[in-house]
Amino acid sequence: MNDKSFRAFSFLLAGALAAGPPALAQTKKAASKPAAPGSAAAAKPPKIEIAVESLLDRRSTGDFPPPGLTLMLSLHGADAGAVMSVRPRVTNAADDTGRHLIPAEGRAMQSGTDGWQSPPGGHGAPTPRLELASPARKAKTVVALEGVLETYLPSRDPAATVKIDRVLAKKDKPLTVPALAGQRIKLRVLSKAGLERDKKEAEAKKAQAAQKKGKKEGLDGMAETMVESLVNALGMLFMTAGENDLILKVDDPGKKIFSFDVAGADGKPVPSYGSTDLEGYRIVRMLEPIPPTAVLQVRLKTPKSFGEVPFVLSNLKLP
Amino acid sequence: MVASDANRRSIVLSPRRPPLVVSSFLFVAGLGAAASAQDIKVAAGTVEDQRASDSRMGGLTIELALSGGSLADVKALRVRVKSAKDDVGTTLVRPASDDKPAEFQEFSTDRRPAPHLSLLNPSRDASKVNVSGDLELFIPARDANTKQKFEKVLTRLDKPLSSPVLKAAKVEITPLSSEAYQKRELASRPTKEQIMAEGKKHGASDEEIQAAIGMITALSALQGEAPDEKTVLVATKDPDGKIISVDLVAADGSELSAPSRGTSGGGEDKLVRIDLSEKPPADATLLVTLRTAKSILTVPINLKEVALP
Repeated sequence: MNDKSFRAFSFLLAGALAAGPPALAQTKKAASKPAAPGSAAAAKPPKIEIAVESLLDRRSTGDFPPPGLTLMLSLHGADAGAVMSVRPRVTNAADDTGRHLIPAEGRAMQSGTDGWQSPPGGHGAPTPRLELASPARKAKTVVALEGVLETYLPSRDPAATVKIDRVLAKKDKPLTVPALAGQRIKLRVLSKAGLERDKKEAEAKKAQAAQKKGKKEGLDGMAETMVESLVNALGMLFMTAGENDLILKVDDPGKKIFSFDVAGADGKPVPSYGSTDLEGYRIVRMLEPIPPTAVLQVRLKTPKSFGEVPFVLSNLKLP
Repeated sequence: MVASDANRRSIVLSPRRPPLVVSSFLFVAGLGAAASAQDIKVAAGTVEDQRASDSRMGGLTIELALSGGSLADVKALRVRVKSAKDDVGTTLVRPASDDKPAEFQEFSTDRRPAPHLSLLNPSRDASKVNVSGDLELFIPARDANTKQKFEKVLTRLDKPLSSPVLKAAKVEITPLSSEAYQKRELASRPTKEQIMAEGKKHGASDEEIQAAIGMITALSALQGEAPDEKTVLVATKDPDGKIISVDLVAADGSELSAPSRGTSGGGEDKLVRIDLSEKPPADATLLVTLRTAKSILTVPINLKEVALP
């Protein structure tokens, strides 16, 4: 991160913390379209209202960080507390000079994996961040802002959460979880030593591949590249895995896993500050040591665990 | 034992010579540096207008693009804004938070972020701004007294270094042992009770306070590795912001490789940590670069009709 982007990031963080009085959005009835498995349109809309907490109009004569308008939103209503992750999608946005504010494809900064945003610290309601294109300098308001907030609420579907009790005791041992096996998911909990063993195995494969001289084309060449990439990834993971972190080896061919989180035996979340996903390995970053009785919660993508909240906001005063 | 470039020069020049000769020599030497530096031009670079709904945040920054003269001689700088207005009449000068001027920032032509002006947000109706002020350039070549050398500094830990130049600048420099550093770090770390009291004062909930304690504890753990035999630690007290840099060099003045260095603390008291590639030689010298009146060259800033983004 360079100085400018760091400055922008710090500013956004501070902006998110310094919340002013929210302006609630109107919420529309959910659009009636066929439910797609694993998509947010699958279940009835959750009872959530959306408010604008703050706006940041980043204007610049330079190219980086790109200029743009960021809105920090907050969630209210009966289901707000149950939302684990959100993904905002804007369908219409314009300022009072008529400029359209939907960013061009690939131009908007994206938060989270696939645009899904989780709450800071891994618990509490998420504070969705919306990225729009830069309004005109002379513009005074955003006259229209319409879109859909996709939400992930695993509490709405018991099948969406698979619990692995006393996860620390499962390190480097075969793990059989029927609920995961039913989804063709294989999971291993690794210690740092286990990760090191995987790294050594990958290195041995790399050495074997290197010995096959003259056979580096076609499938052999591809295999060698893959092994090399795995060795590099494992090296990087090993270097960055902290003493408190939870290391998982994940095989999820159907991409059914939404996320992982850790809770105490009492169900209270154990704070995490994010995760790193690399070559089938995932490190769940923990602020403090995981209690021995802690439970790993594997969150799955099920139709009932998603919901969409359409929103319409108007006349948002630009700073 | 204190040695400086100025002292060395006085040894080279015979003390029996008339003082006028010495003065003339220094004047000519100084003039050379000044003449090239005066050709330095200041123009507006990238302009950023960060506008936030929370009025405490954001602001206008104008990067200063410097050119001409011998920029390589400039080692630090400070910006003073006298007047700044947009074309609809909004005053953009930030009110001073205290009487102290801003600190000098280290400068080199490839350093990022580049020097910049920090102003209030202009009106959305504005399209241009005019700014005037001064750019103070620190050019050590203009005054030999800017470089103060303290020989065999590692044999003089935990006691303030003594020098008339430091005293005149109201600067105190103390090389620290690991033990003294660790004591100092522990003493400066807020206790859980202090964090809780501060949180309560600001109306934070118990949950927020616990989260803050967790975050501060985690950040403390990330404070970096404990000092080892390759680490040099220097505490500084500098009420007028006269210190430009603190470096460790070999006894012959050659550079010692330091892959990592940092300064922590704020206000008058700071801690400089230099992590060298190798254990420093026992006879290493501490090189303190100080700002003096003679080492400063002031260049006017006069930016007209800078287009706003």
